[in-house]
Amino acid sequence: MRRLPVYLVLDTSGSMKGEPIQSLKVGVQSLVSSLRQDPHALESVYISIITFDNEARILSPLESLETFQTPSIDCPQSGATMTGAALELLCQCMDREVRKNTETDKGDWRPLAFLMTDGSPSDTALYNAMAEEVRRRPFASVIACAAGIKAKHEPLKKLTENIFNLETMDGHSFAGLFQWVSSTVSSGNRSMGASSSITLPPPPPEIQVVI
Amino acid sequence: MSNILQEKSPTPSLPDFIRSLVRELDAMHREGKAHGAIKVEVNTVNTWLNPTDAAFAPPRFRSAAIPVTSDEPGITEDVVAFMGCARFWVSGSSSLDHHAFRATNYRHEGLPMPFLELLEKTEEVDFQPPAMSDFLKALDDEPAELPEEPAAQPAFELAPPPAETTQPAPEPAPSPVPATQLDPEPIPPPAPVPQQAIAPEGILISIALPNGTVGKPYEIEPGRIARSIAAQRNDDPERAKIVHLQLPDDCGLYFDSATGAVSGVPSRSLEQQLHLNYISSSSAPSISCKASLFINPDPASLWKDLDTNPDAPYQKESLDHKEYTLGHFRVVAASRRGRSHANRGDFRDDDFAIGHADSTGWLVVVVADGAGSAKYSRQGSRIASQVARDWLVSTLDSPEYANWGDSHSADHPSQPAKPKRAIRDLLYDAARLSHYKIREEAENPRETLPEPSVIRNYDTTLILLLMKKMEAGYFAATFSVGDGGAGFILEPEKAIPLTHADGGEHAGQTTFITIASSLSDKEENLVSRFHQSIEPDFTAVLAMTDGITDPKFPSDASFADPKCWHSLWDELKPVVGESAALLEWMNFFSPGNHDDRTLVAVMPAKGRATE
Repeated sequence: MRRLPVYLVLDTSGSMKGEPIQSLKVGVQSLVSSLRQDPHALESVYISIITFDNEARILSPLESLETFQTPSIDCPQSGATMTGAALELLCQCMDREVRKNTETDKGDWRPLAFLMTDGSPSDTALYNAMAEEVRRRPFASVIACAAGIKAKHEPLKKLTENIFNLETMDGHSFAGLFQWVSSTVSSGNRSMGASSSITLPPPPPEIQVVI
Repeated sequence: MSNILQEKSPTPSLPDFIRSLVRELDAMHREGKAHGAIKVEVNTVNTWLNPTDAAFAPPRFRSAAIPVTSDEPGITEDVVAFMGCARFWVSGSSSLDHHAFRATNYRHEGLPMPFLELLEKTEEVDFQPPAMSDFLKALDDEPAELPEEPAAQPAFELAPPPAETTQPAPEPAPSPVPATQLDPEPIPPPAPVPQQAIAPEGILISIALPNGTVGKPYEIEPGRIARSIAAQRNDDPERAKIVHLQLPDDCGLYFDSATGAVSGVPSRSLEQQLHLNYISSSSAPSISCKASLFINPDPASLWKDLDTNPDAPYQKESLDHKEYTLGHFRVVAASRRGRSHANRGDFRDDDFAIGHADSTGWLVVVVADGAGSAKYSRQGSRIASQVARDWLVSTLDSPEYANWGDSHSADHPSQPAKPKRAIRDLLYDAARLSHYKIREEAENPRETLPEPSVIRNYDTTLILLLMKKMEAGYFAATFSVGDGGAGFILEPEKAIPLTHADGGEHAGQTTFITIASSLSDKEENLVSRFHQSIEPDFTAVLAMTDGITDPKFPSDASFADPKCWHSLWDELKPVVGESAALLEWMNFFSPGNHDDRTLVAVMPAKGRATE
């Protein structure tokens, strides 16, 4: 079975405390629920969640949408935003988990990665190095979302051309974001044929494209 | 399966939360104010159900209130939004998968029965939204817990109460509805255990049951749920027991209270918080816990079959099938839109074309698969197949090709390169011509397009197949760019693949004739794209797009394995006599494989081939 791996890389640093982290949780839940209404996704999507604050961790290892259970997402009171460490973990996961075509087995679809952050990387050197590493890997698409007014766009430009801005971090905005992520995953599922990057569906009004 | 039954965060008291929210909204409305945008905040409010800090509280609504006149719809909107949210909170189910709210199912939530009944009533079609004060009154009642309930009566699966008890209590209702009416549906036997429900104050244990899928057998082995809760509470797992688990009606799953097992075949999708009663030992009081259960829909039931847009450029029928007897050959072909396209009302991107040079006996078969990622690939595949077919037929319909191969067989060792190259060059030229005709179309579209087009919008694969009956047997030659494939099926139990698919490291990566490098004239490129074979007799030659090869040949190794070819042929034999039957067969279900499907079967004429 050809899987479509989807990595969600989520900022859980102290600044997410309160409404943002709650909205994020609901957003992830609604993403999972809405993907489960897509028959293609239900048969092929595998989800993994990586969170980062003072450190990066695999909150949910890669698992099929069918059996995936949304984990509890928490954040510390305060501290650093180790985005670089998260990207390092993302690369490790991808190298280890995403299967390539072999003589006897079909490989996975090229994976999608979504990074959501509300700040800027504390580990700048590692971040810059890892952004390069991510670009070197055959992701079908890497999408970065800068949430809230403190999120910096400049570092994200090193990672990807697909940068989106979420002005507010309330439930409504996150719901819109994850609905869009869901439609992106669904469309990725159908349009990956060419070697080029996938075409993203138009984002909802809550999300601004960053140029 | 280590992720099963994972722990969730503690939940605060739902009744307290609802009470304060109702008080807040009621006070606001009395002051002639409405929130007006309460729906917008629904998602935010949902997060309050599981807060890790007290950053949010109902007074926020009041601060956002705006003045309204008493008959302003703003107040009604608040009430309607509140009712929706409250049903959501109490039932724990999501709006995506809505089921009737039944007050009696939620008696353990610590909310008064009149309030729950009022919520149930709000689901009726012609129900007039009450005022927030009605909710407030209904909330003044005692909680619907039934501590005095006789031990023999299970506190679940009750039939709906009589209609008059579900009135939106204008006065405080005298008492909760007694739980005497057992549901007539067969239910697991009640456990002979005291049903002393604990009010859900403080910390509620919440667990997640493994997900299920509609139609797939589901089982949680005996004692597993109890052990998982015992571990969270530091109880003895051997003595712990689940005495009651409330599963929704008609969901196809059953709880065996004797063993604590859950089993069955889910009959419908669910996303729900279930109520369960746990005891740490046979003498301990029962404790209310929550268990979330997610039953996925059956993916096969979710596919839609939407019509294509009649105003879009490059119209194409979703189904196509043709059959011919051409010279020495019987040709049966079918092509159908894949589920992934039908689900969104997209066009079929596959195409095929068949031709015959009557004067010389050459059969031409072309199969093309437009890329899903290219918006006009349906036209790319059409141009490619028609252009290549027309050019090959007209070129081969000339005396110089009439006895081709008979005097100097293609594989004859005394004639090494020359005849081989001639056919290869012919096929290569046909592919290049297709490429140029597609480029012409992109530069100068014959239909009105919303914006200037580029050749990449027409990405398509191409499989060219030539066949001819010669003195030495049946000759077949192919030239292919991209995925899909073709091959000879021979008896007994033999098969010869006639293509080598272009693939990348990952699924779905391939190349197209619209990419110039795929048609490079470098010898190694041409060698890998061209195949030929001559066989004294044959059963069939198949040419297919990846909608067929992906499910039927799950790897490169299986494409080389004659067993796989023959097992495909075993499936095809009953349907390949008629293109309509072939088309119907091509609707087969294979998880994860829902692309367009096209198959052309060539067999010896006169019906000899199907056996």
